[in-house]
Amino acid sequence: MGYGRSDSYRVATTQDKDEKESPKKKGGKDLDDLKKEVPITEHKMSVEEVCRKYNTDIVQGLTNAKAAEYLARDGPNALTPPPTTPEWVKFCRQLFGGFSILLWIGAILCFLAYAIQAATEDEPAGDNLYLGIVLSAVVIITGCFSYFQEAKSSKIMESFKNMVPQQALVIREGEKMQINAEQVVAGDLVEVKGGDRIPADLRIISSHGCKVDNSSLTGESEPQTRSPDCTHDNPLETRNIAFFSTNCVEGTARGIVVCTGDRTVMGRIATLTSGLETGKTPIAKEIEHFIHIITGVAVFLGVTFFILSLILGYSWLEAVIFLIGIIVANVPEGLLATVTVCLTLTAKRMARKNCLVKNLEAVETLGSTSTICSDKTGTLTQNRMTVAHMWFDNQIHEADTTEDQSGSSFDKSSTTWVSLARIAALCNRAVFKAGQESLPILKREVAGDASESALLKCIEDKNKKVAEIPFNSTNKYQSDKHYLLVMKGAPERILDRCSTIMMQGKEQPMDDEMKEAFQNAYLELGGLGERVLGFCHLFMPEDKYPKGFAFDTDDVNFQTDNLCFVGLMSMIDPPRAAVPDAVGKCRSAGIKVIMVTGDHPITAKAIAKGVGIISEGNETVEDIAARLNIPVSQVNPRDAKACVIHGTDLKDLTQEQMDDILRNHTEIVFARTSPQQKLIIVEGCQRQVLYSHANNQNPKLCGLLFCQGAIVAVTGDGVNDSPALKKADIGVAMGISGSDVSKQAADMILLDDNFASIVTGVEEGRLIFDNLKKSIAYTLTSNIPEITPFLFFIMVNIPLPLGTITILCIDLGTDMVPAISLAYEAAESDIMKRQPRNPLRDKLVNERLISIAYGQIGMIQALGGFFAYFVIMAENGFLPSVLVGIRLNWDDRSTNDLEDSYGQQWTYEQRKIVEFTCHTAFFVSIVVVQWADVIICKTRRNSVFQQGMKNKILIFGLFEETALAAFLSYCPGMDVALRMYPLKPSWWFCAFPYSFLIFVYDEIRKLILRRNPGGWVEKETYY
Amino acid sequence: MGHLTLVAVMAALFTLFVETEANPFVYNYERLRIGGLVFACLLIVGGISILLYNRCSRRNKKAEDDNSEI
Repeated sequence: MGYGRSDSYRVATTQDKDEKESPKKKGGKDLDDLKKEVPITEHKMSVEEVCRKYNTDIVQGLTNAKAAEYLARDGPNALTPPPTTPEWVKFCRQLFGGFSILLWIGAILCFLAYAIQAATEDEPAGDNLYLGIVLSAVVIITGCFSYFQEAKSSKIMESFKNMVPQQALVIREGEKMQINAEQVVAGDLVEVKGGDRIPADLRIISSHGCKVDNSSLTGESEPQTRSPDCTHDNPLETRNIAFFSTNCVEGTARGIVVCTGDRTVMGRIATLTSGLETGKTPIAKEIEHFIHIITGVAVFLGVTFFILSLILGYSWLEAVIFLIGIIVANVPEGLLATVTVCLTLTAKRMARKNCLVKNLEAVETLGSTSTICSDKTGTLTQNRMTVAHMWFDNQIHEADTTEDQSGSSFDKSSTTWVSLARIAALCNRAVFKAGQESLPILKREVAGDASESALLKCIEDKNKKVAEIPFNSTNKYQSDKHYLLVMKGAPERILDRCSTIMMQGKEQPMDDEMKEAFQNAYLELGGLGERVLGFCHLFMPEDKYPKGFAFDTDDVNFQTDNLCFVGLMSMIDPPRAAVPDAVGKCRSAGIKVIMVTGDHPITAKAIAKGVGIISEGNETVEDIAARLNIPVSQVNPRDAKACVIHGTDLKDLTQEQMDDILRNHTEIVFARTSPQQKLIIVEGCQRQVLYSHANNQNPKLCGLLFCQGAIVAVTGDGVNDSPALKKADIGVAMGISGSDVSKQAADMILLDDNFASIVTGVEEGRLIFDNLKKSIAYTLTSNIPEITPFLFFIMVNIPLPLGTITILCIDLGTDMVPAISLAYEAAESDIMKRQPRNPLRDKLVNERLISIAYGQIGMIQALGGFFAYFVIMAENGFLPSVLVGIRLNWDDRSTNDLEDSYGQQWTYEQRKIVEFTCHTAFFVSIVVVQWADVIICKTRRNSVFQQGMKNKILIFGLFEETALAAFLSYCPGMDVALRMYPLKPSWWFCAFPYSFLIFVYDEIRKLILRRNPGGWVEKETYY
Repeated sequence: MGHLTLVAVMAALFTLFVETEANPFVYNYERLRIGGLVFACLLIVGGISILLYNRCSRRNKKAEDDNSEI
C-alpha cells in the first residue's frame, strides 16, 4: 500500500456494492456527522490564535519532540485504507452469491436423495450422486471464472495507482527540512511552492502569488488564489485554507497544518465514501426475483407430484426421492454459466469501447438508469481553460474551443488582433514544456496558470520582457524592449486606465458610445459564464523613455494611465465535443441528465446550456422573472422547466422541497455543491417517484404508471464526487483525468474520459437485459421436456424416457452455445428511443416468460420427445399400450423374458439397450426442437424474417449443438461411457414436425402480438 | 464448384445410410457410426467456416458494427 501518498488509499475494488461490513460498527451517527459540512474554524482565527491552539511558533515551527508527540497522538498523515475484502471472501462471494445458491441447494438435495437411496436400496442408482457432483462442479467452475474475470479488472484498477511517496517541506525548530508527507503533524509549519501537492490542510499565514487547483475538491476549473486573509465564512470558500492533496499551481505559501490524515477535508470525504452502504445492483435484484419464481415452480411441481405419488401408492421414501428429483430437475444447470458468460461478453465489448466495468453485474445497470447526475468539470468539460470569445473592433469573435481544433476560426487579419495577441503573449508567464514540438498546440502541456496557458495556446508569439510587475492579483503589466507598455486584467479596471481604444488598428478616443459597447460586450461574455480579461497597451514615447531606461517596478516611475484599450478575451473550460450529442441521446432514451457541480452557478448554467442539459428555449425561474420584469417570488416555479440551484439554498431545503424540485423540473443544475450535498442529491434522485410508460413499445397498453426508486448513475472525476459515485446505483469515473479515490468508488470507468461512452453503456446495458431474457427463455424451455419423462415414469409407469446423464448433456452441452449466442443478438427496435426500464414492472423474468417457456413451447417440445420415444419403442416391438404399467417388470433384473407386443422375449440387458437408445433419441429430439426454439427466441416481438439471421454465432451454435448430439450418439465407446447409442437416421426426423410447429406457433403468436398491440396476446405472452 | 462438392458429399452420405438400411435384420452399426461421425465433423467444419468467413469479410471491408462479432 502506498502510505504517505495522499490519495492512494484503496477501496476494495470489486463487489463492494452489496458489502455490509464497516459502516455498522462505526454506526450511522458517525456517517451522518460526516455528511455535515466541514468543521474547520481556523480560517476565522488570527494567526496568533492558530499558533496558540497548536502550540507552535510562526517562525520556528514545532519542536522535534512536540512533532513526535503529536505524531504518536494523531497517527501518520495518511488516509486509512478502508477495510479491504480479503481475496477468499471475494471468491466465496462468487461461489455462494445469487444464482449459485440455487445450484448448491440442488446439489445438496441430490446428495440427500442419494443418501436415502443408499440407505434403503441394495444397489442404489448413481444418478443422483453424479448429478450432485456435476452441479457442484458447475458452480465451482463458474465461480472461478467470474472470480478471475473480476480479478482482471481489479488488476487494471491497481495499475491506476501511483506509488510515488509524497514529500513535504516543514520547518521545525527553525530549520527547513524535507520529510515524508506521512510524518507531517498538526501545528507543523509547512512551505509549498508551485507544482507541490499540499501535504495536509493548511491555514495560510503568508503567500506570494500562491494559487491552488481545487478542481478535484470543488470542481472549479480555475486556480484559486490563496492568501492569509479570511474571505468567507465557509472554510471551503475562504482563501486562507489550502486543502490536503490539492495542487499548488504557482507561487509559494507558508501555512500551519490544522488537520492531518483522515481529519482533513479530503480524509472526511474518503471516509464518508468508504463508509457508504449501497444496495444490490438491479440485475442482482432481477436474478433474485427469477430464483424466487423458479423455486416456486419447482416446489409446486415437486409437492404436487409428491402427493400424487403417495396417492398412487408409492412408499414415503420413494415419494421423497421423487420430490427431490423433480425439484432438482427444475434447476437450470446451464443458466448460471450462460448468464455469467453473457455478462462477461458484454463487459468485454464495453471495455473495447472504453468502458471498463469493475463489477460484472454493473454491466446492465446503465441500461436501467433513469437519471444521470453528472459532474461538470472534467466530465462534461475538458477541464482546461480555453479562450472562447474575443471582443475587439467592437465585435465579438468566437474562438475555436474544440478539442481537436476542428472548429471554425475567426478572422485574424485585423491589426487589432495582432496587437491583442502581442499583449496576451507578453502578459504571460506560462510556457510550453519542452519536447512537445510534434504535438498540436492544444495538446501540449503548459507550465503555468490555467488562464495564461489558455492565452498562450490561443496566440503563438514571443517577445522579450524588460520588467514585469505583479500589480495585484488580477492586474499586472509588462513592457518589452520597444518600450511598449502592455497590461491585462479585470476589464473595468483596465478601462479606467484607458483614454483611447483601438479600432481596425487605429487609435480612437474613447467616447461614451464606445464605453457602452464595451460594457455590453463585457456583460454578454460574463453572462456566458466566462472569465473575461481586458487588454490594453501604450507605445512609450521614446523621448521620455530612452533606450536603457531604468524601469522601477516598486516605485512606479512611468506612465500607467491614458493607455489604449485593445480588446477583451474571455475564457471558459469548454464542453467536450461529444457531450451535447450524448446528452441528446440520453434525453431521447428517456434519461434525465442533471448537472451537479461545485462550480459557480453562472458558469454551470452556461455549460449546461452549451451541452443541452438546459435545452434551448427552456427558462429558469430567474430567466422568466428577468424577461417579464417581475420579482422572482412572483413567478410560478411550475412554469420553469429548468432550474439552477445554489448549494447554499440546497442546505435549507427539506426533503419534501427537494423531491418537489426533482419532480417538477426536467432540467436541473446544482451549483456550488459540496461533496456531502452531492450525496444528498443522489439520494434524492434515488427516492424519486419515476413516472414512465410501463411498456413503452406499446403506449396504448400502459398509460402512465409510476414506481419508487429510480436507478441513478453518477459521473464524476474529482474526489468531491466520490461519495456520490459510491452511493449511486452505478458510479462512472473518468479514467485519465479522474482521481484515484473516484476511480475506486466507481463501478465503471470511462477509459477515454469520453462522456459519450456512457451512451454506449446505456445501449449495451439495455441490449444485454433484453438478450438475457431471450437466453433465459431459451434455456428454461428445455426444462419441460426434461421433467415430463420423469413425471410420466412416476405416473404411468413407463420405462424412463430420458435419463439424468442425457439431461446434463442438454443443459451443459448442446444448449450452452445457442443460449450464449443470444447475447450477440442485435436489438429488435431502437433501444435508445424508448424509456428506461421500470424496475417494478419490467422484470427480467416474469410469469409471461415462464408461461411461454414452460407452458407453451416446452409442452410442444415434450410432445416431440415422447413421439420419438414411442416410435423407437414401437419399432422394437413395444407398442404404447404395453408400455404403460410395464415399469416394475422392465426394471427388474431377474426378469429376463419380458414379452413385447409381438411376443418377443427381452432380457434385462437387451431392454436396457432399447431404453438407453430411447434416451438418446429423446435427447436428439430435444436438440431438434431447440433449433426452432433458439430461432424463435431471437426476437420477442418481431418476426424472424424481419430480424434476419445475421447472428453468426447463433448459426454456429445450431451447427455445434447438432454436431455434439451426433457425436454423442455415434462416437464409439459412448455406449459404455454415457450409455448413449447410435440412432438410425430416420429417428432424427421424429421431432422435425414438432420443431416446425414451434416455429409456426410462435410466428403466429408474434404476428397477432404485432397486429394487435395491447391485446390479450400481448398482455399474456409478451415477456 | 461448391455445389458440386456438396452434391458429392450428400451422395456419399446417402449411400452410406441406404446401405445400412438395406437389411432389416442385420443392421450395420459400424457404417451408421462412421456416417454419423462424418456428419458431425462436417457440421463442425461448417460452423467454424461460418465464423471464420465472417471474420475474413470483416477484415476486407470495415463494414458496419456487427453485433455478433466475437
